[in-house]
Amino acid sequence: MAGKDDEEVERGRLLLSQLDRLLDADPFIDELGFVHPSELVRLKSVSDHSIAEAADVEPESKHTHSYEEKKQYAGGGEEFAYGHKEHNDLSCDDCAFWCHDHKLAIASPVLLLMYKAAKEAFIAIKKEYLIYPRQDGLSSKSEMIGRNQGYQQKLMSCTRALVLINSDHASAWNARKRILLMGLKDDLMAELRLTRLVLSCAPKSEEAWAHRRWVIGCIKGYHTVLDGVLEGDSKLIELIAERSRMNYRAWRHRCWLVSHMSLTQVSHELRRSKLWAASYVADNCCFHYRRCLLLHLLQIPSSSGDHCNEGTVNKESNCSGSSQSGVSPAMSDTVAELWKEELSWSADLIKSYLGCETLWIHRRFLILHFLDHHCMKHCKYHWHSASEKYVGEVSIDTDRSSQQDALVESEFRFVDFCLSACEKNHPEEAKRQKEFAITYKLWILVMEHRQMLLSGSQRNEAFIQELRDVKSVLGVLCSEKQNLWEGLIPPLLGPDVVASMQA
Amino acid sequence: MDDSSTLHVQKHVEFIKSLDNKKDLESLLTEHIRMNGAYWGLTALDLMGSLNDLDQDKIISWILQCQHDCGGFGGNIGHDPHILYTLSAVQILALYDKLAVLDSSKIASYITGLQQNDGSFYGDEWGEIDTRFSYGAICCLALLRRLDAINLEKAITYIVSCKNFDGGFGSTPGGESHAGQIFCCVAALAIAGSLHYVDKDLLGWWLCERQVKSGGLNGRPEKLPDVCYSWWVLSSLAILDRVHWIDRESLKTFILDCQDIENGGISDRPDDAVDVFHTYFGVAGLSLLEYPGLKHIDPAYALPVNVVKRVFS
Ligand SMILES: [Zn+2]
Repeated sequence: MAGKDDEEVERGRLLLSQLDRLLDADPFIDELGFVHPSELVRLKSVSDHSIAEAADVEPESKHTHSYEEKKQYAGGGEEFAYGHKEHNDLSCDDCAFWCHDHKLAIASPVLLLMYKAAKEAFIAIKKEYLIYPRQDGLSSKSEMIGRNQGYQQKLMSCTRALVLINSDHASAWNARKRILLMGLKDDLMAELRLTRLVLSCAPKSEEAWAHRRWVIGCIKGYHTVLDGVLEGDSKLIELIAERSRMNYRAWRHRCWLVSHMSLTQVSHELRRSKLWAASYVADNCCFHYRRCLLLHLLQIPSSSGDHCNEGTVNKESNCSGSSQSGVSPAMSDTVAELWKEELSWSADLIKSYLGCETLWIHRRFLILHFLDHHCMKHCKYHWHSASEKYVGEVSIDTDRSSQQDALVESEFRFVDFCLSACEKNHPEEAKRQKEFAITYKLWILVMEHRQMLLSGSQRNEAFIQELRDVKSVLGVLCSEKQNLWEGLIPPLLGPDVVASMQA
Repeated sequence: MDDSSTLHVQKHVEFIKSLDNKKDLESLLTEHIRMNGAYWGLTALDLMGSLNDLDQDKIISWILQCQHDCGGFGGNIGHDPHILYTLSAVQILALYDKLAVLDSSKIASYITGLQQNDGSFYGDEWGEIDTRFSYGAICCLALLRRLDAINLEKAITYIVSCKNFDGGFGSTPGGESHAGQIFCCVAALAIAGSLHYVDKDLLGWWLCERQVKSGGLNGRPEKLPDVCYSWWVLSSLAILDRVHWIDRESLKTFILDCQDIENGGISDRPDDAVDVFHTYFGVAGLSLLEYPGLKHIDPAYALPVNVVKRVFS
């Protein structure tokens, strides 16, 4: 038995060194996958074929083309001296790896062996370094530096294998951080590429995202490259988000980037990412990202103009919720315009995509802010039933509360429109649309009620009537949440009304 | 008797006990979070009345070997310390009524060192910030009765700054509301005696909207239901005293449907592969639903009620 174990250990080490050589030979590998051995065979046959084809037709231009692609994909910030070597000189296990066009596939059965070998190496190197941490016993300084470099290199190689196979191995990432702290900017750019490679295979890995943030934090010292990195990251997340929907960690990273953006960048992001959002309307993360951008707009001082990169850099994203509504800097026309655009766009989406929860949640957010504060002054905006869209009205300037009433009325007309929606071809979606529409109406009433409490005004007859109507519609459309409505609505009606209803 | 209508306690106990001896890739890849795994498994065993089925001395001696000189605990021997593993270590010792073996001021000073000026907490020396770490710090220190070691007021202010328009909480200020983060924030505020910062009706509403037609709960809008949210959502509702706002019967049915009746264990959704994480959260969810035969669990400390009572007696 011991013989077989030794053999396996040896094979693990061998595979590990092959992986090392593959990764060193092409620093631009940007996609990793663990595949069934049969898939590896298929990939091999396809790529052999395409290599043969490429050899027939001008190999030079092919090479240039892939370099251009690479530059684009690397998203600006991660460009690096292009040191591509041919793969031919790499002797590696055909049953374990396939590497072509900067994509690496590893056969899943070898993962266990390689991981064991990497783990063993990691423990051994750490131990070795702990036993001889300083220059004791070494005759010269150069000898010491030489040994330390050897140690660092070994550690970087085994931790790379560990995090590629197990992206949440925090101790391995940390060991890399310790070594990077002694190093240079170029190492940091290479490290960004490694996190990208890991994320291509494990897009939800919390530790990989955290490590990436740590690296970007270190790069901040080098201002010239930071802008490129930020833009590259924003694109990276769209790529990842397409494959990994509603990825909380990825979008958290993107929201984090917002805190580094200027007014121009934010408005650019808002408009640019519209198309993406409209293609993935069920992705709440994406709409949350828009909320971050919209709130960030309210917090950028209007005087700071477009070049406020420095001024807005904060440790974490600034875009807090309604709790900070007290702060309302004078809103520029640009900001008002963007908020207005969002409200109207949101209605268009709701009309086009029936029964989509995230769209209605987004509207709850928008209306809350329109009712709450800043946006009111600039946005006289109403749902026009006849044309079934939002129109800007030139209202003779009235006081705040009558503007609010007008907005609420307009929203109620929109709700009525959605409640009447019936789509014979999509009965399920239509049903959900009605559920969301009526709960949205309840949301507005709850927000109104909160304002009444704040201003000390009384619930009027109309409010109570609306609430009662909503409650009875909810009882029909969303009866499975009856416990919720029974808990939530009666306190809004007030004790006397509840008593009279029960009577 | 319909098999999926009852909780197969003995099967689940056997499943958890069997985990210790596995040597496959999956168990190798989770070695680094073994401290969390031990907490999930042991708390589930305790809720099912079987804590003493495993060797207590062996476990405690292993836990102590995971502690670093700085006072923090790693996820396993030889792994770097982190607040989340430190919390799990303290929780396990609380289960065993062995908090006395710990040097509580050493742990307290580790946690003190993680707090930042704005009241937030690093998870470890590398500076990642998350409201989960705030919960880890506050819960851990409360169990050690050392809340004096941090600036609690600032810690609360930071958590409140992570509140969103929907009443929920995210991982950092402005972060998307997420049921797991909400549990951490609400439970931390509960332990700190600051629940008045929570918008109970609004958050209760958001939490109830997590219940989908199948009876299961999801963690965010448009996501699939998952057994672990039976804990994150339900414990938050329990702290807010709003458990009766959801349909408890259909949730119970959903959790029971996720059991592996043959080999024990509970999965995220019916017919998926089981794991210790979802087994614990399924059992804990049923405990909050007062499933007969299970110990009651405290929704904020995530420990059996009798354990919490003992700590604070
Ligand atoms: Zn889960």
